[in-house]
Amino acid sequence: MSKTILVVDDSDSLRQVVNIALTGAGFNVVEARDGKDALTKLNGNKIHLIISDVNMPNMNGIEFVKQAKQLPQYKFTPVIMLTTENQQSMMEEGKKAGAKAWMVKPFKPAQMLQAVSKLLMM
Amino acid sequence: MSIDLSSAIATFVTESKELLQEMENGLLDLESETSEEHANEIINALFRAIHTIKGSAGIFDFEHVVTLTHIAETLLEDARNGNLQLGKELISLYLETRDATESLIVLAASETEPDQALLSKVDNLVASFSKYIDADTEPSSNQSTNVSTSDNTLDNERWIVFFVPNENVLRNGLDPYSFIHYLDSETSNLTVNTWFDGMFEPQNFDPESNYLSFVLSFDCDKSESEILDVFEFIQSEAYIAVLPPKGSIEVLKHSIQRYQDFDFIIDALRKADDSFLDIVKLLNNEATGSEQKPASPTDLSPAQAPSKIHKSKTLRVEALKLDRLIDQVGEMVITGARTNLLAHETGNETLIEAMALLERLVENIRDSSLKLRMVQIGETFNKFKRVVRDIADELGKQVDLTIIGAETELDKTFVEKVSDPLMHIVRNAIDHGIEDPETRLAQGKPEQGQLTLKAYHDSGSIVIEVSDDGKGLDQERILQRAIDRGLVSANQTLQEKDINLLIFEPGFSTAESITNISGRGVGMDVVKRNIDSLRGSVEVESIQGQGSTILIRLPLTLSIIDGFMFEVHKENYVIPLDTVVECLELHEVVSEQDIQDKSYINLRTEVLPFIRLRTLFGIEEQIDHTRESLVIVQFGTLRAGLVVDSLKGEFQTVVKPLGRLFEGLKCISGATILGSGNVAIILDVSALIKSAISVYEALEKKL
Amino acid sequence: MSECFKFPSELTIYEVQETFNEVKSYISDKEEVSFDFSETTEVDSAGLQLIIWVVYHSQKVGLNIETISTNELIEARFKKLGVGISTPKIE
Repeated sequence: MSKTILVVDDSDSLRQVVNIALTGAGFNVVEARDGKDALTKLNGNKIHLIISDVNMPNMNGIEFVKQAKQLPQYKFTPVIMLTTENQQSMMEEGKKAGAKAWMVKPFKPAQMLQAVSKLLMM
Repeated sequence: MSIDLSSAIATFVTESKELLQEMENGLLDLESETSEEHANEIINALFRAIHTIKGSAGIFDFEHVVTLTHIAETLLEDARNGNLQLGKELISLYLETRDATESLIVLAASETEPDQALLSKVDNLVASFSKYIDADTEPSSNQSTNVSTSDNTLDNERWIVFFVPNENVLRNGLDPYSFIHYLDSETSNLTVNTWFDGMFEPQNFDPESNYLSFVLSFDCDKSESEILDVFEFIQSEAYIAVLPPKGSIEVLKHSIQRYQDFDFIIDALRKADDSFLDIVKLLNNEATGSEQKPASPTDLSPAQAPSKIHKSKTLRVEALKLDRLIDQVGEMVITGARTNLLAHETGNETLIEAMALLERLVENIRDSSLKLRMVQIGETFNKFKRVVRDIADELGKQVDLTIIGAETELDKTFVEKVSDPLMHIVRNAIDHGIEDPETRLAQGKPEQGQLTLKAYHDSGSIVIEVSDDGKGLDQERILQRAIDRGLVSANQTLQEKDINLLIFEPGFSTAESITNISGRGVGMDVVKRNIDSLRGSVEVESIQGQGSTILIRLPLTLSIIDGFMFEVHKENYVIPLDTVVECLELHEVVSEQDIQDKSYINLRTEVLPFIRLRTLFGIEEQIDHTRESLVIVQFGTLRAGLVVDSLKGEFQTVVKPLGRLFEGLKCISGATILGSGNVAIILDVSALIKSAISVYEALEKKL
Repeated sequence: MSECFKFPSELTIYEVQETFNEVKSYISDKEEVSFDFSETTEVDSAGLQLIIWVVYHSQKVGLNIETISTNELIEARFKKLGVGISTPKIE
């Protein structure tokens, strides 16, 4: 029974790339455009790992992760945050919100797969 | 979808510069470090710094940086394993690498190709480093790198990873098994030893806490950093140590202490690799013999990874934002003063009280925001460790640098500006002050010269001292030289401190051979000019044959000062409150006749040179002697009196710089806007005092 | 033949607290116990840890473990970790 990963990013093409890579590796992928959308997807599915961008409209990644981690069924779920900037302050905030891993864009799909494999077993 | 990495690159440049500076500090400390444990800590920190720079440089495709840092990192790996000793030669190589890397990064960030000279330098460094790698594989033939095989290295053929996640990893959403599973896919023949006895301690088992720790062994053809990368996301919440084949015994020893069960570790090692059998015996002996007991069983939480993540409680603030804040606080101070005046004019008691409270708050904000601009001078001082080392080397001298008062704070704008003058002075001290080892021995001095950088606060100023125990100033020669150069007339008699100050005159140099380093006598006068422009002063103390001390005095801040105001011919003037010693009615101190045509006052037992500001400002009209006041001011060790029309009291003063037109004026530091809206001139007390003294000396000597 | 404690199909950090409470009360009034992990198909470190605790703790407090039922996944995981889940009888 394959695991499900939630990919949250306002870029259609990025979600697409990640989706293809993860599906190819055997995961199920659920996509969301922003934090608000993502929260509804969390409620509607069983998600095993969250990949979220930091900069998004409607609700940014940090806020989304904070809220997601408040939900009892997601409080232990691993989170990978995506950003285009190596901002130290963002990393600190992300960690405080509960994100344990960090990926700087642009990244190669293989890198994303590696990161996911370290955090989640098939 | 094009991605703009420019802000990320800017951050990378800033971070790399910091890391490289830390590297430099580490390398210099390493040279004098005797404790092996500390040395290992430093080497680990060096490795991580280079590793981080290399990684980020890779993301931005900064090729040259990656090439150089890669080989530097490789050697540091060897050093971490104890396969390579970092002697003076290597440390020098690394210092050069530090310089080259910074240049490469800055050029790459601005999309400029490095010039041929830099590229050649990089090639040379890479070649030099390569020699050490080759030397590594032939341990017997190499003496200079001091490769120690039997002492520090083990015989293990397999890789070992010590993995001790801390008790909260599960709660934090991390799954140790997942990392092991991943490692399995990247290596071959992975065996795992799991310890879990900690879950049976008297405390109740908490299923959400982690009690598992592991010893992993495997074969692979990867590098140590690649293996470390496997644990990237968990490394801040676990102890992770990698022992490659023929690994360092230090890593082993260090890691063993992380597990709570000695027997478990022995067993795990035995199962991991045959070569450990001897080690096991060795460690058994050590354990029973030398109290190397594991942590007590009640300690259920293995400590954090030894990586020194510098958890600094500091915040990055753009300098521009800070300046704007200070400006705004300044405006607030002025407006507050004005409002206070208006409040007093209304005579409304409640309002006046409220204003007084507000004034206090404004003062607090003023002080707090000014403190934001203060940085420790230690960072600047630290840069000198490298400078001193390099110059001493080049000149064949031995110099020991002591730093005192590194925590002393000064305004950040000074830090950059005082760095150059200090550099000149330090170079001078090493070049002309400290003698070469033979000469020193002949004089009964220790071979190694002492150079001390000291900083402290003193009555509203920061003082920076540069002392050496060298040959001191030869006053006869200085005086003679000054006469030769026409700086002083032959029959002038000068006090010692003035003779010393002659070295700051332009075009002055007594050095027989003007060395490459100090330049053609342009050093010291530029130093003085720089310091003057910061409204500071320089003093020199020296004892011939024993050494010299140069003291630089700088005001603590330029922006907002507590001022003391007085009036001269209906105009207001302000001086820093810190400089005011005493205020007196002039006629109570001296009679009109006694002060006539004199340039000094006999004040109690002291001879006090004075200036009548009216006269100084060219105001012909005289006022009644009984109305004049005397303000006694002090700057450093010098004192003088200022004769003014009337005293106005203390005022918070926001210093506004004068326009270009006024910059050359000697006795004026700036201006301020009073609450009334009028402008008051801020006087340069140091200049005034010196003026008074020189007038006094000129007049008195004439007689 | 003693009553058997059946572990849930998912035994991860999310389920361990509740499962722990249940199995604790299960063993509290028994002298013989049996554990069934055969339906547990999803397990993480927390789950594996709990299984270890259950089996070893029971032994330590002197309970008689009659049977332990596992499945391929669980056995593979424990083999990988080098931890034995063995009692006189394993099915």
